[in-house]
Order: sequence, then C-alpha cells, then structure tokens
Amino acid sequence: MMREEANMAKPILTGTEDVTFIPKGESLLRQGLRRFRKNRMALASFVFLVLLTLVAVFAPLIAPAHYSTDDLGATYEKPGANYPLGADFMGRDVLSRIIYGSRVSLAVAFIGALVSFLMGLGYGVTAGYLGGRWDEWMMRAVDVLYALPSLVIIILIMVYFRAGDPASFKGFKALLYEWDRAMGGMLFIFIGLGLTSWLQMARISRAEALSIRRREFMENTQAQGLSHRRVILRHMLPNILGPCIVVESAHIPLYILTEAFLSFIGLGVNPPMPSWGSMINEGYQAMRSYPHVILWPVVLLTVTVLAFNYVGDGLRDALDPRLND
Amino acid sequence: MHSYLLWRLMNMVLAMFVLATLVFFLVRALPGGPFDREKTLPPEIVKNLESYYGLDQPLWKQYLDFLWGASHGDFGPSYSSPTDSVNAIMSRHLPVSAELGMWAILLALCMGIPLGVLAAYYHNSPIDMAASFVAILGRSVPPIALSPLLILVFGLYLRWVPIARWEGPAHRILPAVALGLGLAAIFARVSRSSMLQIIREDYIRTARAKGLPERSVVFIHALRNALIPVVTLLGPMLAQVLTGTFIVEFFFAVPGLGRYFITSIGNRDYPVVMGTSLLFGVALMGLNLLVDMLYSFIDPRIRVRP
Amino acid sequence: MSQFEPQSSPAAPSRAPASAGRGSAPPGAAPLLEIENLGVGFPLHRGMIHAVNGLTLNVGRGETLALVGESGCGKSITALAVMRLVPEPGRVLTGAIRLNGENLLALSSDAMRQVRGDKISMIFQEPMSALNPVLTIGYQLLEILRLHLNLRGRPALERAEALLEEVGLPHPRRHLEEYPHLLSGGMRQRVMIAMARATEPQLMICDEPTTALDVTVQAQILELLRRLQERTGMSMLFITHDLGVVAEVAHRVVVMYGGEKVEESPSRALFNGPVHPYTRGLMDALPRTDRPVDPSYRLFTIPGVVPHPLALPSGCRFADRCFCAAGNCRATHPELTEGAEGRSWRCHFPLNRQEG
Repeated sequence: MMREEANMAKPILTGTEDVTFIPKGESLLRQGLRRFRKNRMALASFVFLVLLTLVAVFAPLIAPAHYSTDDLGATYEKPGANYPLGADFMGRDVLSRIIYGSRVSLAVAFIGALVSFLMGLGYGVTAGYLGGRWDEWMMRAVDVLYALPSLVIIILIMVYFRAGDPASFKGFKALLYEWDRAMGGMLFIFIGLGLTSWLQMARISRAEALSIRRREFMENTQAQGLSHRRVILRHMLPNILGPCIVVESAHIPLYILTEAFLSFIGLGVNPPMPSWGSMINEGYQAMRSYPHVILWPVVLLTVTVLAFNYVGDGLRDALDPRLND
Repeated sequence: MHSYLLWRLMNMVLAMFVLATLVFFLVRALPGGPFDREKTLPPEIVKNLESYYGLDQPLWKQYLDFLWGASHGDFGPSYSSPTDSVNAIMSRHLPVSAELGMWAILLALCMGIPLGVLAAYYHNSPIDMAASFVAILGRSVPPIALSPLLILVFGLYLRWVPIARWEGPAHRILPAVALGLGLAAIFARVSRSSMLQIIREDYIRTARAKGLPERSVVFIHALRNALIPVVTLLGPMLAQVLTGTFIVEFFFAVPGLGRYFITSIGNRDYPVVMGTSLLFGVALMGLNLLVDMLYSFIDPRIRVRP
Repeated sequence: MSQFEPQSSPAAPSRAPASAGRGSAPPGAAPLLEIENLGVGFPLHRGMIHAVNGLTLNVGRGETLALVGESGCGKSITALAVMRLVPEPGRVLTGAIRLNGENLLALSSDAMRQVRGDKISMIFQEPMSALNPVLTIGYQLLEILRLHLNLRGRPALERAEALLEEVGLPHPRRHLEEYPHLLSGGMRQRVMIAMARATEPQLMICDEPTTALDVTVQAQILELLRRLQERTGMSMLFITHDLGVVAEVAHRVVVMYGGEKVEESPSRALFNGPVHPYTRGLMDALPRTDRPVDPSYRLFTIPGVVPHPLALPSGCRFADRCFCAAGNCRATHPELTEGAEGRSWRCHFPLNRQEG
C-alpha cells in the first residue's frame, strides 16, 4: 500500500484535535481495572474462580470424605444424607471427588498456562530480540511444528508416558515417574501440555518483541549502551507482558478441556485420583439409570470453563477495548 | 503466489516427516505388541508373529520401511486383527468421521454466521444480548459436556431423536449438534465483532453517502469484508473438530475413525495408532493449506498477480 | 492592510480571474442550499456536546463556499448533517437545511436516500480508506449508475469510462476492473470525484479532500475540481482548515470556531482584510514566502487551545486566545453583525471595521 506524504501545510494551529474527555492522569492499568470492574459477568466469574480455588486448596477440610474412600455396598446411591451428590460406581462420594477434581482442573489451568507462557515467552522474545538469521531459523522451526496436530501429539506423548513400567526405570526416569505418581499423574500432564502449547505463545511474543524493537525508545536504550539483558528485562518485557498475558489466559479453557479429555480416555490422571474428565467417563456407563453421577462433573466443568472464558474476555476488553467494541 | 504455495507445500512435507518420525519412535518405544496377551505363546509362534509384523528387523530398517510404507499409504496389518490391514480399517471408518465433521461445520456456518451478523446489526438490542449469551454458552459447553447433556435430554427424557449409532439421517442430528454448537458459537462471536468493526469503516460511510439502501450496505459492502476474519478461523477450527470427533463418536457410538483410534490405544494396536495419527496429521495440514488458499481468493488485497 | 495575496501562478494564468473573489451567482437568485440555525449535539452521559450551534449559511448556484476552521470546530459535522449522515449518538437538535427550498431534515429516510448521491454528493478526506477494498472500482462506480440513473450493461460501462476519463485517469477501462489497493491516493481521490460526479449533482460537498495528499497531487485535485465546477455549474461546499486551499477554490468563505460562525465574507475581501481576530490569526500562521529568509523568523501560532466542548466560556469563545480581547469580551457572547457586501462577523472589537 502506497503512502501519501502528509500535506505540507499541516493544521495551522496546535491544539487538542480530540474532543473526547480523558480523565486526568489515569494510568492504563487503572483504566483497565475500572473497565473490568464494570463488566459484571467477568467480575462474577472472577469471584467464582477465587472461591473455587479456595475450595481446591482446602479440599481436605471441606470434602466430607477422601476421594478414594469406597463402599461397595453403596454403589450408585442417590443423593441423600450420606452422599450429598450421590455415590459413584464404587460407592465413592461424588461431592468429595468433585472437590478434589477441582484441584486437578485448576492446577492444570494455572500451572499449564504458566509453563506454556514461560516457554513460549522465552523462546519468542529471544528470537524477536536477536533478529536476523537466528530469528529466521527459530521461527521456521516453529512454523514446521505449528503444522502438527497438537492433540494427536499430546495423546502420543501421554501414551508414551503411561505405558512405561515404572519399576524397570533407573535414575532420572525413575525419579520423574516417582514424582508423577506422587502428584496423581499430574506431572506428565503438565509436561505434555507444555510441550504442545508453547508454539502460539512463541509466535505472539516474538511478534510483540519485534514491534517493540522497532520503536524509537529501543533505539534510545541501545544508544545508551545498555546491556542486552537490561534492555530485555527493563524495556522490552513490560510492554510485551500485557498482550501476552491476555492471550495466554484465553488459552486456559483449552488446557482444562484437554486435561479433561485425556483423563476421559484414560491417559490423564492416575486413578483413584479424580478428574472431572475421568468422572464423566465413569458416569457414562450408568448414565441412563443413574444420571446424577455424570451430571455433576459435566456441570462443574462447564461452569469453570465458562468462568475462565468470561474472565479472559473481560481481561481482553479491559486492556484493549477496541478489539470488541 | 506460486512461490508462497511452494513454500507451504515444502513446509507440509517437512512437518509430515517430523510427525512420522515422532510417531514412529514414540510408539515403537512402547511395550506391548501383537503378543501381549495373558497366555504366553510358544517361541515359534512368537517368531512367526515377529517376522509377520517386521519386528525382527533392526530398528533403522523398521523406520525406513515405515516411512516408505507411509508415503504409499500402506501401514501394514493391525495387531488386534492380523488379517485386517490398517489401510482397510482406516478406509472403513474415515468416511464416517469425515461426514460427521462436515455436518458439524455446515451447522456451525449456517447457524453461527447469521446469528453473529444479526447481533451486530441490532447492536445492543435484546437480540444482541440473547445472541451473545448463546454464543458464550456454546463456546463454554464443550462436546465432552454437551454430549451427555444432549443424550439425557433428547434421548432419554424427550426421546425425539436416536442417541446411538449411525444408521439413518436422524442419527446424524445429535452428534452434529454436539460437535457443531461450539463452533457455531465461535463463528457467531467472530462475525459479530468483525461486523461491528466493519460498519465503522470509511467505505461504509461512502456507500451510505451514495444513497445505497441499507440492505446493500450491509450485505454487499460490509458482509464480504466482515467474513474475511471468519474464514481465517476455519483452519484452527479443524483441530477442534478433530478433538470433538473423538469425544462425540464415543458418546454416540458412531463408528468413526476417532473412536477406533481411542480403542486401539487401549488395545495397544500400534500400527493402527501410527497410521491414524499420520492420517489425521496429513488431513489437518492439507485442509489448513486449502483454507489459506481460500482466504487469498476472498481477499483481493493479498492476491499476487502472476 | 493585506498580509496575504492570493497567488496567481504563471503556470495557470487562468486561475487568477477564476479564483478568490470571482463573482458568483447573479444577485437575487435563490440560493441552492440554505442552512438555517443548525444545531447538532452529541449526548454523552457527561453532558451534551454541542458540535454545531446556531449556524446559518447559504450556498448559491454555481458557487463554491469554503467552510474553514481547525479540527473540532464543527465544519465536518455540518457537512455530514447536510447529508443526514451524522454518526451516532449525534443528532440534529435545531434548524433546517433546505435544498431548493425543500427541508432535507423533514424528509423520510427513503426520500433522503434518494437525494444522497444523486442531488447531493460528498467526497471525503481519506481516499485510502474510502473505497471498499473487496469490490472493484467498476462495481462501486456502476452501482451508483444503476441506483440513481437506472443505467445497466453497455451504456453503464460507457458512462463509467467517460466519468473516469473526465477526472483525468489515464486508462479508464483497465481501472474499472482493478481493486482500490492498486491505486495511489491521488488516483483514488479522482475515483471518488468520478463517483460523486456520476449523477451530475447540484451540490458537491468536499470534506478536506486534499488534506491527506501530497502537495503536488493536491494542486491537481483542486484544479480538477475547479474545472469541473466551471464546466458544469455545480455548487460546492468545501470544508478545509487550509487557507491556501481556500484561496484557490472558494468564492465565499465562512470561518467557524467553537461550533459557530465567526466570520463570513467573499473570498477576495477576506484575504484583503480579515475582520475577526481569529481569521487574522489563521492568516498570520501561514508560512510566508514573500520575504527573504530570516533566521530569526518564527512561524506564528495562535496561543492556547480550543475550549473543551463541555466547558465553553460564556463570553466570546475565542477570547482566551485573542490578541485584542478587552472589556466585555469574556463576559458577553457576541452576536453576529451583518456588514456590507455580504460580510458578517461575530466580534465585539472587529478589525478594520469598515473597508474604506
């Protein structure tokens, strides 16, 4: 697109071109917070998530029973005094399992997002900052990997992790499996998610890094002779973090659903650790006769994903309202 | 244009190669195989099985054989049903999945886009609010949650439509809805925000200044521009359709390739797993390429003159 | 004493008699466009912003009226109000806008739609974004011909080609099939002019059509507009902030400030001696080319800023920035004073009160 030079005779008078009234001295962050607060659904969702996090953290104190406590005499018991939400096919308390299941989903949401964020950000900012051939080759690798279907890959990765016989491993491998077992199977889920979801973050952070790099104030810092690290940390990152956080938080629902899917097909958490996804699978068998078993994990999963969607949207609207009118 | 196409094709070939390698080594490293049964088999039979499946060859040769076969679409026999070739299995089940995916995408387009456009046109009216709410709901009730809900409501309580298997036209309905509703919601949201943006553009003001009826302004001038971002969605959406098919086929007992893929993981039927993974990968990449080409066809600004 | 002379460049000698100060419509003829006491406001939750206040002006047949002022003075909104295209949430609060005696503001939407693009057409400031990028030039041109003139097929194509030729595009047939992004800004603006000319409108509104263009292209476009007007006798309402442009095209000038008219005058008289201090300031701010270069020469700017529309002063709106504000300027809002020869001003202490 060709550019026309601005007319030589610019507007004669200096003065405010703009009629909109900007409150004096309000920083971008405060403006953003104000807009977020006005968004009722986002606010309600945020409150819900805070409460859910508290429930997850204090699960042992809140849940009526441990998630693995079973009673084969009470299988599929309808909701009642003993079992507020009913019992599943092994007589375990659905409510307790839902509560412990929230730990899994929230852990995946936050830690999965964090891992993907850090990996992608590190890779992308480095590529964007180095520029030139480094950037070119690093991003070519990303392009090739981006074309791969991440779901298929994460399934294969999880199959690989789950199919091993832990007893036969030595050294580092054994240690990994030990940790994973202690975490109910979560470690490998984090690794799997991290390995497959950093690509988009890498692309975006690199694009942002490039655009920052081209701006004038970056030339200033280079003229001042600041070290690479200082330039990145103090000048580049603060400007990049905003949009990157917004993008990453929009991915959280995807992480939650991916984990639910993996647990659903048996590649996720290790039983008896409950995940809402594995509970849906268990509930499916008896769905027609005992719908209460499948109902609650479905509801919780939906509401949690909905909440994260609203919060993510709210964040994006708050920090860049132009995107969504 | 041609050099871009060439670059994309090269990218695709490279990616397929990486995928094939990844698939091969991940799966080969797994224990279990054609003779992972409870009963131990006599050594001669083990030897026969090994040579039948080519497992007695050195690893590098197995890899090359695999690549060679894969490039010809030949993945050998299945572990679970040794007389069935992976190819035959895939060609039986793939059309079912493809059909399901197609119905879901059609539903998404025909429901989502008009909804989004209407919501933008009647901005901030009750229609807009309702459409936005439906859109958010559709986005948040994923197939894994929507499928059981649909089965319970329509299959068990209301009994309007069948909820399992794939025998007649009525069997297509619920699975397509379960798979497509989420997509419809995404289309609705994007076409709405895109439309809202386009309506503000200068050339829309020009169109109005010409005295064009509002109908023309919206459907001819605005819509075409507004749909461009929607088309770019199709690519990433395909991956979502893929995930969804696994789940929907499971819940509704649809005999598609997704369901077969999952069960063969459980059965440790690795040739099927490898073949299907590669097939999904190739299909996804190929469709993405098609979508990119479609995009350049729709937006004249990025067409390059020969 | 005049500080500014309309330039008559040797390159276009025909320009001198045609530009500033040329006689327009014969006296007594009914004006084509009458804007009477127009008020346009934008209701925001903080208050009502009055973008245009009590504006009255006329455009005669075959005449070019320039509407001058800086950003935010209400001139563009006035133009949009004539077309009834004021963007939401703005709306016309008071007044009438008459085309050939018929009040446009009282028409139904359908009736107004028929006027738009047919009797009145408009060209805008940003040629780069004013054309639809996914439709060909030909399509965008032909749809006007089909809509207002009922032309289709071959006759329509021929007319479209003729229009493009008229505005100076070298390869009309090829351009018809091209998409806008292949054309430069100047060429796109010519296409816009062609589209505006398609129905031989009685009035063409030009909203800063050259501001976004290169200086040389600007001269060409202005030349084109002037020629079109001389040949066809259409009237033009020309919005601009640039007095240099005014000198080139306008018969009469209306100067706006803070949403109201502060001076009106035939063009030549204005440049010979402005009456309102603001107009004087605008002229002083033009870079001088008739003096030898002096290193100490500083470009003049009017000090201060435009008052905030929600905090308009109760007296003269220009008082805070006026070099000769005195007495009751800040306290009393001046009314419009009519003078001789079609001049008027809104000032308690006008300069050169009566030309000799």
